[in-house]
Amino acid sequence: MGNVIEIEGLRKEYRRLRRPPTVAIAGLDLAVPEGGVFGFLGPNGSGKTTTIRCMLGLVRATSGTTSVLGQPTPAALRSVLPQVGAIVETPALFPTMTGQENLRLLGAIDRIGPSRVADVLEVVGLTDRAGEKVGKYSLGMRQRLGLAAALLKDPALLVLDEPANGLDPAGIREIRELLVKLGAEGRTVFVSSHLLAEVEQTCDRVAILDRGRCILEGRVEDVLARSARPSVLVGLDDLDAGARLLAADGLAVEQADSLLRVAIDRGEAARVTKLLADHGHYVTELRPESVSLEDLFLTVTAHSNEAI
Amino acid sequence: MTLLLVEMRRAVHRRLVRWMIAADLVFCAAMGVIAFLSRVDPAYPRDHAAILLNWWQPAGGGGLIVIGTSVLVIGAAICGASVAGAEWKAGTITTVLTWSPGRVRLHLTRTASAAILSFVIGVVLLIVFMAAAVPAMLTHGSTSGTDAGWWWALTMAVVRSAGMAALVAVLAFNIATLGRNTAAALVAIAAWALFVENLVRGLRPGLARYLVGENVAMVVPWHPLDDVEFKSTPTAALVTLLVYLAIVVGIATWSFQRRDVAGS
Repeated sequence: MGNVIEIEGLRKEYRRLRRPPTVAIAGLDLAVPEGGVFGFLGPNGSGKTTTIRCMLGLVRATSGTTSVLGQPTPAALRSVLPQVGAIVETPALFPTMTGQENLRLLGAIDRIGPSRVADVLEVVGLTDRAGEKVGKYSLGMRQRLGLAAALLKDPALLVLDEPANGLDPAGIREIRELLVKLGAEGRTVFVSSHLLAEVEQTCDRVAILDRGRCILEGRVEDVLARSARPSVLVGLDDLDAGARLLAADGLAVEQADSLLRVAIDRGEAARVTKLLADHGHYVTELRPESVSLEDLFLTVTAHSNEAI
Repeated sequence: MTLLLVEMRRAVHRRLVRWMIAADLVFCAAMGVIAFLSRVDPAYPRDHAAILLNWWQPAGGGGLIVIGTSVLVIGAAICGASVAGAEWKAGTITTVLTWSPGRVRLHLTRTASAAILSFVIGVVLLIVFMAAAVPAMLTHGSTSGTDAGWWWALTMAVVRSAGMAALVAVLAFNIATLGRNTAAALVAIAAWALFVENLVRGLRPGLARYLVGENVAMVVPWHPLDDVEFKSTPTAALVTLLVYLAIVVGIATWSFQRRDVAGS
């Protein structure tokens, strides 16, 4: 199997009385390859959750096609869903039941036994609290229980909508490590998130969605490399003098906080240090400028908004 | 079958369902205590004495079976609407659909779950209701005159009464599914029962044969209504109710199958 999720020309409009329809997804194309962790990013209202709902047959697409694990959805959902674990938005479980009862009841639908329930509770670190009613759980605990429910089917594909919502930093780290582990086991983890630093550390590939369209997609390193400007950041005692000197040598220089940003490939950084040292300016700091996923996200979504 | 059991377990776990059952049990206990403490009024000894034959009149459509059915039907409407409405409010319908994607199957299973539970709970509560009067019967009442035929008639009346509770629960469940809201469903049911039906009774008494209230009142005792401007039979009443049920369940199933499940 090549792609576990394939979306072509997906469009979703919500009709409104006497007003033009709201376009939630505007012709989305997306292919998610098998294995690893795939980050699905986008600002609020960009259509991430609607896309997930279309994939899982919860929402009927206005046009376009979706397929999951090689089968068209929603037509083949009955054969697809037993291999898919999903959290859509906040995990909604039954508050008057304990965590364990919730999982046992869900598991009973697919004839999953209690031993598997115990296993997934262990995986998400809820074994000690499994006997408490879900109504008493914190948001973070509900997220963990939702993740446990998604893992219950031992799925080939995990679709997780903001799985780190409500978790404390330690919980976020645990979830990150768990997702990486699940991806490394050969499963495909499709995770939508707005925690960009987390996505950068967790995901192998990303797609950035804005206003219902995919505006960037690929391996995280490739996407960042494509977007990175070749530049180094230079620390000096006298920034103005250094900037004049580098500019006089034909380099594009600008001040970035307490550093100089010099537009030069990192492999040529020695040229900068030599030039400055020859004129009595000694470098106190030198590092290649890296672009974070957050920078990239803000840049591309801002451009997209300007274009519209 | 597994899905049906899961849905039934989920329904009985609902806090409101448990509260309604508890309230009904308290009502039964209170009625039992009142019956036990009541003494025969010398002016009306026949009416007030704890005579089983008088209190339960399964064939005549009178007595405690009317009170029992009324309480059951109200409780069934509230619980039926709540079981559906709360799922939408809490978003648990999304969770269930990611496990059981066949919407028609899921909806019909949940409808069956509402019917079965209401019926079973209805039968049990009516038995408790009858049992609550036993101390009064034993101490200052009588069970004389009750023969096998009477007990059979009472059993059938209990079955029909619980059946009507199941019917109302299913109606409420499906109306709440259409509106995706408990309160809206209960308001709609109350408006229909209190306003529309009374309006028809007052303005077009001949059309009252089509009203839910009249038909339920014929089915439970399995007896035609007296003093009304229409002629109908219990069988016709049951068929009318089942037609209404089929229409509401059909529309709700179609709606559930077609509409988006977006947001909670």
